[in-house]
Amino acid sequence: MTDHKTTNKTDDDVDEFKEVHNKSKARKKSQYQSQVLLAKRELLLQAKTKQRQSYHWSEALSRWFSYSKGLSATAAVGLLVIVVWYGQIHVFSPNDHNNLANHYTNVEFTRVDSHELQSESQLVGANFRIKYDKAYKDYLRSKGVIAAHHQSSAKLRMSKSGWELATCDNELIKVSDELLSLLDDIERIDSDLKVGETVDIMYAMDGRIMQILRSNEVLRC
Amino acid sequence: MSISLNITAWFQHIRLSEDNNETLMLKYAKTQNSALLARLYDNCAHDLLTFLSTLSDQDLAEEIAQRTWLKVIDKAHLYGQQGQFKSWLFTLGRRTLIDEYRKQNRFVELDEQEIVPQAAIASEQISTEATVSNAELNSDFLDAYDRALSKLSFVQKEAFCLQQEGFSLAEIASITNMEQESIKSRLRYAKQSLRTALHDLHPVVDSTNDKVNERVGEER
Repeated sequence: MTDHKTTNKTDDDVDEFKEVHNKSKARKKSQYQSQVLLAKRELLLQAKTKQRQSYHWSEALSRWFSYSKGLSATAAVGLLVIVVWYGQIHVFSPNDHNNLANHYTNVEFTRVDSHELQSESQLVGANFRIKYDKAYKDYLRSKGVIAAHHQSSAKLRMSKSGWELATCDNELIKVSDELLSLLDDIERIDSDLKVGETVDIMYAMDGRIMQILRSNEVLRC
Repeated sequence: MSISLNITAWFQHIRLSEDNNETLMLKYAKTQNSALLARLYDNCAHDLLTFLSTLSDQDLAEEIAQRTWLKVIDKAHLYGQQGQFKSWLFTLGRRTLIDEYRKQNRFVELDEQEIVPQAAIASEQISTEATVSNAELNSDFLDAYDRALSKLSFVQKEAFCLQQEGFSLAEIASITNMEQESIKSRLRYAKQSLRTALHDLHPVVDSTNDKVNERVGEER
């Protein structure tokens, strides 16, 4: 039982009482045996209670950490798979061109331009707007001879928000009522246009619509 | 083949290291595994109880021993790797006992004034009718020994019992928080008292008693 090695002995006769002491101890041990077992049982009950308490705090925490590690690992792998998959469908290969073409064919309009009187939302105050309308009108009138920068054809459509011009380039140009009346004032728009008719749109250098007239040709996209 | 031998040796090594009280205690402090405490208890409980019963009575010793083990559970995290577990256990047990004595207003003399040979007192208590041979330590002799031991002063008893438990002088000094020279002195007087008390009962004790008596006389 004793696992010590005694050092620094004081007397030569340490063992003088060893035998008798051990026998006395052994005798006491047999006397105390039952009490020791009872005490051990009681002590272990307390130790187990403490073990359970420490389980609640430390073991549960460590388990939670291990679970969260597993969860994080799963999430990381999932994320990696998504990134790789997402990356793959966006990497162009020669075969993708056909798919891409089909993709764009299915989309009717990818760009919507709203040709109003130059971003009305940014204009603050009625005076400023009046001045702007006048300036635009003057600008158009000053081009007595139309010097169009470029021209395009479109089909006239009607929607809830008003007139729309759909081009073969998948552009949708919304024409505000203000612009229509302005063009009408200076006779730069045919007054009897109908839905579905093809029109020629003339633009100034800065992209402003200067004229909308009925086209002689039917637009075929 | 060699791999299996290595694995077996490794498991044996593990088992051996687990048998060590210090390793068990360190593992217990870390894991709170009651199975480890049970093994520690099996290894040391009886030694502690015997030590405490020598310094008090049986009932109090049992109570103090139990309280000491509860302290082992509560203070497990304070156990340091240095030092032996049994030394730490006995330190806790002794302090708990002294605290209990103080609570009960029982006076425990812990200074050197108490170290007086008490052979005369002890010898009065021992029946001279009981005699034993060299080879035999009968029940009467053990009773006489226990009585003689119980008659020693607290500090002599604890020093003597700790030495019998296998603790070194340095360890006894650490457990009792005393100088080693004081421990030496206590041990000398304790043994002298025991020899005197058992003089008529044990021839082996008798033969060495004269030499020690001579030495003590010279020192004085």
